[in-house]
Amino acid sequence: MATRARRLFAVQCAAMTTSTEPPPLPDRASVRTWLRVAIPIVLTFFPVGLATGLTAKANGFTGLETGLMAAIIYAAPVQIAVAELWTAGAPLFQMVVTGLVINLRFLIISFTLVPYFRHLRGIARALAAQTVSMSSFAGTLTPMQRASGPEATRIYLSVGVVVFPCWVMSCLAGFGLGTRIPGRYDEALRFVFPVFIAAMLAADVREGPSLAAAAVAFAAAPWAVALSPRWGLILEAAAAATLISFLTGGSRTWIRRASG
Amino acid sequence: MDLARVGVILVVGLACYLERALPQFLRAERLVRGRVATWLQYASVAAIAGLGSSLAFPVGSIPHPALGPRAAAILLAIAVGAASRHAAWATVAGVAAYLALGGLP
Repeated sequence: MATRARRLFAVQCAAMTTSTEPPPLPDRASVRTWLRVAIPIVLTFFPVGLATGLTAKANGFTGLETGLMAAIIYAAPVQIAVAELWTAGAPLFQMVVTGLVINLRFLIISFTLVPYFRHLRGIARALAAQTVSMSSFAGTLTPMQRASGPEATRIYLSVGVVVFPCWVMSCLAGFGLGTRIPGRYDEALRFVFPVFIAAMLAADVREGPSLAAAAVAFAAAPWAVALSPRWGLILEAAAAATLISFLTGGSRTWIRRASG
Repeated sequence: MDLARVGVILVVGLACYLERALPQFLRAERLVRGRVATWLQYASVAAIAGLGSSLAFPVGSIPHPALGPRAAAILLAIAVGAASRHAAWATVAGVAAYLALGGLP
Protein backbone atom coordinates (compact mmCIF):
# COMPACT_ATOMS: atom_id res chain seq x y z
CA MET A 1 0.00 0.00 0.00
CA ALA A 2 2.76 2.40 1.00
CA THR A 3 4.77 1.54 -2.12
CA ARG A 4 1.72 2.11 -4.31
CA ALA A 5 1.24 5.50 -2.73
CA ARG A 6 4.89 6.37 -3.39
CA ARG A 7 4.60 5.27 -7.02
CA LEU A 8 1.42 7.35 -7.43
CA PHE A 9 3.25 10.33 -5.96
CA ALA A 10 6.10 9.88 -8.46
CA VAL A 11 3.83 9.44 -11.48
CA GLN A 12 1.79 12.52 -10.63
CA CYS A 13 4.86 14.69 -10.67
CA ALA A 14 6.71 13.10 -13.55
CA ALA A 15 4.72 14.67 -16.37
CA MET A 16 5.34 18.15 -15.12
CA THR A 17 9.04 18.21 -14.34
CA THR A 18 11.78 19.21 -16.74
CA SER A 19 13.81 16.07 -16.16
CA THR A 20 13.77 13.53 -19.00
CA GLU A 21 14.95 10.75 -16.67
CA PRO A 22 12.45 8.49 -14.87
CA PRO A 23 11.41 10.13 -11.61
CA PRO A 24 13.04 8.73 -8.50
CA LEU A 25 10.73 6.90 -6.12
CA PRO A 26 10.11 9.33 -3.26
CA ASP A 27 11.07 8.28 0.21
CA ARG A 28 8.57 7.60 2.98
CA ALA A 29 9.12 11.04 4.49
CA SER A 30 8.04 12.71 1.22
CA VAL A 31 4.89 10.63 1.05
CA ARG A 32 4.13 11.41 4.69
CA THR A 33 4.57 15.12 3.95
CA TRP A 34 2.27 14.80 0.95
CA LEU A 35 -0.44 13.00 2.94
CA ARG A 36 -0.11 15.43 5.84
CA VAL A 37 -0.64 18.37 3.49
CA ALA A 38 -3.12 16.98 0.95
CA ILE A 39 -5.63 15.24 3.23
CA PRO A 40 -6.58 18.32 5.32
CA ILE A 41 -6.97 20.38 2.13
CA VAL A 42 -9.23 17.78 0.54
CA LEU A 43 -11.27 17.52 3.75
CA THR A 44 -11.64 21.31 3.80
CA PHE A 45 -12.50 21.49 0.11
CA PHE A 46 -15.29 18.95 0.31
CA PRO A 47 -17.83 20.93 2.40
CA VAL A 48 -16.92 24.11 0.52
CA GLY A 49 -17.50 22.33 -2.79
CA LEU A 50 -20.80 21.02 -1.46
CA ALA A 51 -21.89 24.55 -0.57
CA THR A 52 -20.74 25.84 -3.97
CA GLY A 53 -22.56 23.09 -5.84
CA LEU A 54 -25.71 23.67 -3.78
CA THR A 55 -25.59 27.38 -4.58
CA ALA A 56 -25.07 26.74 -8.29
CA LYS A 57 -28.09 24.43 -8.27
CA ALA A 58 -30.16 26.99 -6.37
CA ASN A 59 -29.28 29.54 -9.08
CA GLY A 60 -30.52 27.26 -11.84
CA PHE A 61 -27.19 25.97 -13.18
CA THR A 62 -27.11 22.44 -14.62
CA GLY A 63 -24.78 19.70 -13.41
CA LEU A 64 -22.56 20.05 -16.48
CA GLU A 65 -22.34 23.81 -16.03
CA THR A 66 -21.54 23.35 -12.33
CA GLY A 67 -18.72 20.92 -13.16
CA LEU A 68 -17.43 23.15 -15.94
CA MET A 69 -17.44 26.14 -13.64
CA ALA A 70 -15.58 24.20 -10.93
CA ALA A 71 -12.89 23.02 -13.39
CA ILE A 72 -12.42 26.25 -15.32
CA ILE A 73 -12.95 28.95 -12.71
CA TYR A 74 -11.70 26.82 -9.76
CA ALA A 75 -12.43 29.40 -7.09
CA ALA A 76 -15.49 29.09 -4.86
CA PRO A 77 -16.15 32.82 -4.31
CA VAL A 78 -15.95 33.57 -8.04
CA GLN A 79 -18.14 30.58 -8.91
CA ILE A 80 -20.76 31.82 -6.48
CA ALA A 81 -20.43 35.41 -7.66
CA VAL A 82 -20.91 34.34 -11.29
CA ALA A 83 -23.96 32.23 -10.36
CA GLU A 84 -25.54 35.06 -8.39
CA LEU A 85 -24.69 37.75 -10.94
CA TRP A 86 -26.02 35.59 -13.76
CA THR A 87 -29.30 35.16 -11.88
CA ALA A 88 -29.41 38.94 -11.31
CA GLY A 89 -28.94 39.53 -15.05
CA ALA A 90 -25.56 41.26 -14.74
CA PRO A 91 -23.53 41.97 -17.91
CA LEU A 92 -20.53 39.80 -18.77
CA PHE A 93 -18.05 42.61 -18.19
CA GLN A 94 -19.24 42.99 -14.60
CA MET A 95 -18.87 39.27 -13.97
CA VAL A 96 -15.31 39.31 -15.36
CA VAL A 97 -14.25 42.33 -13.32
CA THR A 98 -15.85 40.92 -10.17
CA GLY A 99 -14.04 37.62 -10.71
CA LEU A 100 -10.73 39.36 -11.26
CA VAL A 101 -11.06 41.49 -8.13
CA ILE A 102 -12.08 38.54 -5.94
CA ASN A 103 -9.18 36.49 -7.30
CA LEU A 104 -6.53 39.19 -6.86
CA ARG A 105 -5.01 37.00 -4.15
CA PHE A 106 -4.15 34.43 -6.83
CA LEU A 107 -2.06 37.03 -8.64
CA ILE A 108 0.06 37.47 -5.52
CA ILE A 109 0.19 33.74 -4.84
CA SER A 110 1.25 33.04 -8.42
CA PHE A 111 4.06 35.61 -8.19
CA THR A 112 5.13 33.94 -4.96
CA LEU A 113 5.18 30.56 -6.72
CA VAL A 114 7.39 31.78 -9.59
CA PRO A 115 10.61 30.41 -8.02
CA TYR A 116 8.93 27.06 -7.41
CA PHE A 117 7.48 26.74 -10.96
CA ARG A 118 10.76 27.75 -12.60
CA HIS A 119 11.67 24.06 -13.09
CA LEU A 120 8.62 23.40 -15.27
CA ARG A 121 8.45 23.42 -19.07
CA GLY A 122 6.21 25.96 -20.85
CA ILE A 123 3.03 23.90 -21.22
CA ALA A 124 3.54 22.16 -17.88
CA ARG A 125 3.94 25.56 -16.23
CA ALA A 126 0.79 26.79 -17.97
CA LEU A 127 -1.14 23.75 -16.69
CA ALA A 128 0.36 24.03 -13.23
CA ALA A 129 -0.89 27.62 -13.03
CA GLN A 130 -4.47 26.33 -13.07
CA THR A 131 -3.82 24.45 -9.80
CA VAL A 132 -3.04 27.67 -7.94
CA SER A 133 -5.44 27.96 -5.03
CA MET A 134 -5.34 29.55 -1.61
CA SER A 135 -5.61 26.24 0.25
CA SER A 136 -2.92 24.47 -1.80
CA PHE A 137 -0.61 27.44 -1.38
CA ALA A 138 -1.18 27.84 2.34
CA GLY A 139 -0.87 24.11 2.95
CA THR A 140 2.33 23.59 0.98
CA LEU A 141 4.24 26.81 1.63
CA THR A 142 6.08 25.62 4.73
CA PRO A 143 7.11 22.21 3.30
CA MET A 144 8.17 23.94 0.06
CA GLN A 145 10.34 26.40 1.95
CA ARG A 146 12.01 23.49 3.78
CA ALA A 147 12.66 21.67 0.49
CA SER A 148 14.69 23.02 -2.40
CA GLY A 149 14.56 23.18 -6.21
CA PRO A 150 12.50 20.54 -8.02
CA GLU A 151 11.58 18.85 -4.73
CA ALA A 152 9.65 21.96 -3.67
CA THR A 153 7.91 22.04 -7.06
CA ARG A 154 7.05 18.39 -6.64
CA ILE A 155 5.49 19.02 -3.22
CA TYR A 156 3.22 21.73 -4.59
CA LEU A 157 2.15 19.87 -7.71
CA SER A 158 1.56 16.56 -5.98
CA VAL A 159 -0.94 18.33 -3.75
CA GLY A 160 -2.40 20.54 -6.49
CA VAL A 161 -3.17 17.72 -8.92
CA VAL A 162 -4.99 15.76 -6.21
CA VAL A 163 -6.93 18.68 -4.81
CA PHE A 164 -8.14 19.92 -8.23
CA PRO A 165 -10.29 16.85 -9.18
CA CYS A 166 -11.51 16.61 -5.58
CA TRP A 167 -12.79 20.16 -5.90
CA VAL A 168 -14.67 19.40 -9.13
CA MET A 169 -16.17 16.23 -7.62
CA SER A 170 -17.25 17.97 -4.44
CA CYS A 171 -19.01 20.71 -6.46
CA LEU A 172 -20.80 18.02 -8.46
CA ALA A 173 -21.72 16.23 -5.22
CA GLY A 174 -23.17 19.50 -3.93
CA PHE A 175 -25.16 19.87 -7.11
CA GLY A 176 -26.40 16.29 -6.76
CA LEU A 177 -27.40 16.96 -3.18
CA GLY A 178 -29.24 20.08 -4.32
CA THR A 179 -31.35 18.11 -6.79
CA ARG A 180 -32.76 16.10 -3.88
CA ILE A 181 -33.80 19.20 -1.96
CA PRO A 182 -37.17 20.76 -2.89
CA GLY A 183 -37.00 24.05 -4.80
CA ARG A 184 -38.70 26.00 -2.01
CA TYR A 185 -35.48 25.69 -0.01
CA ASP A 186 -33.37 27.39 -2.69
CA GLU A 187 -33.29 30.69 -0.79
CA ALA A 188 -32.04 28.86 2.31
CA LEU A 189 -29.45 26.95 0.25
CA ARG A 190 -28.11 30.20 -1.13
CA PHE A 191 -27.46 31.28 2.45
CA VAL A 192 -24.99 28.42 3.05
CA PHE A 193 -22.27 30.19 1.07
CA PRO A 194 -22.36 33.52 2.93
CA VAL A 195 -22.09 31.56 6.17
CA PHE A 196 -19.07 29.76 4.77
CA ILE A 197 -17.42 33.02 3.70
CA ALA A 198 -17.87 34.48 7.19
CA ALA A 199 -16.50 31.28 8.72
CA MET A 200 -13.57 31.10 6.30
CA LEU A 201 -12.52 34.70 6.87
CA ALA A 202 -12.77 34.28 10.64
CA ALA A 203 -10.80 31.03 10.53
CA ASP A 204 -8.13 31.83 7.95
CA VAL A 205 -7.44 35.57 8.00
CA ARG A 206 -5.08 36.22 10.89
CA GLU A 207 -3.46 39.51 9.97
CA GLY A 208 -5.05 42.48 11.72
CA PRO A 209 -5.19 44.79 8.67
CA SER A 210 -6.70 42.08 6.47
CA LEU A 211 -9.29 41.38 9.14
CA ALA A 212 -10.03 45.09 9.31
CA ALA A 213 -10.45 45.25 5.51
CA ALA A 214 -12.80 42.27 5.68
CA ALA A 215 -14.80 43.79 8.54
CA VAL A 216 -15.17 47.16 6.78
CA ALA A 217 -16.23 45.48 3.54
CA PHE A 218 -18.59 43.12 5.34
CA ALA A 219 -20.36 46.03 7.03
CA ALA A 220 -20.49 48.28 3.98
CA ALA A 221 -21.26 45.84 1.16
CA PRO A 222 -25.06 45.47 1.55
CA TRP A 223 -25.47 49.25 1.41
CA ALA A 224 -22.94 49.68 -1.41
CA VAL A 225 -24.66 46.98 -3.47
CA ALA A 226 -28.07 48.53 -2.75
CA LEU A 227 -26.78 51.91 -3.97
CA SER A 228 -25.03 50.48 -7.03
CA PRO A 229 -26.08 46.90 -7.81
CA ARG A 230 -23.53 46.64 -10.63
CA TRP A 231 -20.37 48.13 -9.22
CA GLY A 232 -21.07 48.53 -5.50
CA LEU A 233 -19.20 45.37 -4.51
CA ILE A 234 -16.04 46.23 -6.44
CA LEU A 235 -16.01 49.89 -5.46
CA GLU A 236 -16.48 49.17 -1.78
CA ALA A 237 -13.75 46.49 -1.86
CA ALA A 238 -11.36 48.97 -3.48
CA ALA A 239 -12.37 51.65 -0.96
CA ALA A 240 -11.90 49.28 2.00
CA ALA A 241 -8.48 48.17 0.71
CA THR A 242 -7.38 51.76 0.12
CA LEU A 243 -8.59 52.87 3.56
CA ILE A 244 -6.82 50.04 5.41
CA SER A 245 -3.66 50.44 3.30
CA PHE A 246 -3.63 54.14 4.13
CA LEU A 247 -4.17 53.53 7.84
CA THR A 248 -1.56 50.79 8.18
CA GLY A 249 1.06 51.89 5.68
CA GLY A 250 0.98 48.43 4.13
CA SER A 251 3.97 46.92 5.86
CA ARG A 252 3.60 43.16 5.32
CA THR A 253 3.18 41.22 2.10
CA TRP A 254 2.83 37.55 1.29
CA ILE A 255 5.74 37.82 -1.11
CA ARG A 256 8.12 39.04 1.56
CA ARG A 257 6.89 36.44 3.99
CA ALA A 258 7.32 33.69 1.41
CA SER A 259 10.79 34.78 0.37
CA GLY A 260 11.87 35.20 3.99
CA MET B 1 -27.32 23.36 -21.04
CA ASP B 2 -27.52 27.08 -21.72
CA LEU B 3 -24.87 28.12 -24.27
CA ALA B 4 -24.85 31.72 -23.06
CA ARG B 5 -24.14 30.52 -19.53
CA VAL B 6 -21.36 28.25 -20.77
CA GLY B 7 -19.91 31.22 -22.68
CA VAL B 8 -19.90 33.29 -19.49
CA ILE B 9 -18.20 30.47 -17.58
CA LEU B 10 -15.52 30.19 -20.28
CA VAL B 11 -14.83 33.94 -20.43
CA VAL B 12 -14.70 34.39 -16.65
CA GLY B 13 -12.64 31.21 -16.38
CA LEU B 14 -10.17 32.51 -18.96
CA ALA B 15 -9.84 35.79 -17.08
CA CYS B 16 -9.26 33.93 -13.81
CA TYR B 17 -6.76 31.63 -15.50
CA LEU B 18 -4.78 34.55 -16.92
CA GLU B 19 -4.64 36.03 -13.43
CA ARG B 20 -3.06 32.80 -12.22
CA ALA B 21 -0.82 32.15 -15.22
CA LEU B 22 0.54 35.53 -16.30
CA PRO B 23 2.84 35.93 -13.29
CA GLN B 24 4.52 32.69 -14.36
CA PHE B 25 5.40 34.11 -17.76
CA LEU B 26 5.84 37.82 -17.07
CA ARG B 27 8.95 38.88 -15.25
CA ALA B 28 7.08 41.48 -13.26
CA GLU B 29 7.56 40.47 -9.63
CA ARG B 30 8.88 43.92 -8.81
CA LEU B 31 5.57 45.49 -9.78
CA VAL B 32 3.67 43.41 -7.26
CA ARG B 33 5.68 44.02 -4.14
CA GLY B 34 5.31 46.16 -1.07
CA ARG B 35 2.25 48.35 -0.95
CA VAL B 36 0.83 47.15 -4.25
CA ALA B 37 0.82 43.53 -3.07
CA THR B 38 -0.63 44.55 0.26
CA TRP B 39 -3.40 46.54 -1.42
CA LEU B 40 -4.21 43.64 -3.74
CA GLN B 41 -4.40 41.31 -0.76
CA TYR B 42 -6.74 43.65 1.14
CA ALA B 43 -8.90 44.21 -1.95
CA SER B 44 -9.30 40.48 -2.51
CA VAL B 45 -10.22 39.82 1.12
CA ALA B 46 -12.58 42.81 1.10
CA ALA B 47 -14.25 41.65 -2.13
CA ILE B 48 -14.82 38.17 -0.69
CA ALA B 49 -16.18 39.60 2.58
CA GLY B 50 -18.37 42.03 0.66
CA LEU B 51 -19.70 39.24 -1.54
CA GLY B 52 -20.65 37.18 1.52
CA SER B 53 -22.25 40.12 3.25
CA SER B 54 -24.24 41.26 0.22
CA LEU B 55 -25.51 37.71 -0.33
CA ALA B 56 -26.43 37.23 3.32
CA PHE B 57 -28.12 40.59 3.71
CA PRO B 58 -29.43 41.74 0.33
CA VAL B 59 -30.90 45.10 1.33
CA GLY B 60 -34.55 45.38 0.38
CA SER B 61 -34.97 41.85 -0.97
CA ILE B 62 -35.19 39.62 2.11
CA PRO B 63 -38.09 39.70 4.55
CA HIS B 64 -37.43 41.17 8.00
CA PRO B 65 -38.14 37.89 9.86
CA ALA B 66 -35.16 36.29 8.09
CA LEU B 67 -32.72 38.99 9.21
CA GLY B 68 -32.49 37.82 12.83
CA PRO B 69 -31.66 34.17 12.07
CA ARG B 70 -29.23 35.25 9.34
CA ALA B 71 -27.38 37.70 11.57
CA ALA B 72 -27.23 35.12 14.38
CA ALA B 73 -25.96 32.43 12.02
CA ILE B 74 -23.25 34.69 10.59
CA LEU B 75 -22.13 35.82 14.05
CA LEU B 76 -22.00 32.24 15.30
CA ALA B 77 -20.01 31.15 12.23
CA ILE B 78 -17.53 33.98 12.82
CA ALA B 79 -17.19 33.10 16.51
CA VAL B 80 -16.73 29.37 15.89
CA GLY B 81 -14.37 30.05 12.97
CA ALA B 82 -12.20 32.40 15.00
CA ALA B 83 -12.11 30.01 17.97
CA SER B 84 -11.61 26.73 16.13
CA ARG B 85 -9.75 27.90 12.98
CA HIS B 86 -11.90 25.40 11.06
CA ALA B 87 -14.13 27.01 8.44
CA ALA B 88 -16.05 23.80 7.73
CA TRP B 89 -17.13 23.29 11.35
CA ALA B 90 -17.97 26.96 11.68
CA THR B 91 -20.14 26.74 8.56
CA VAL B 92 -21.97 23.71 9.94
CA ALA B 93 -22.55 25.57 13.23
CA GLY B 94 -23.84 28.66 11.41
CA VAL B 95 -26.19 26.73 9.15
CA ALA B 96 -27.44 24.66 12.11
CA ALA B 97 -28.17 27.89 14.00
CA TYR B 98 -30.01 29.25 10.97
CA LEU B 99 -32.19 26.16 10.81
CA ALA B 100 -32.77 26.08 14.56
CA LEU B 101 -33.85 29.72 14.58
CA GLY B 102 -36.46 29.12 11.92
CA GLY B 103 -34.52 30.30 8.89
CA LEU B 104 -36.19 27.78 6.60
CA PRO B 105 -39.41 28.81 4.92
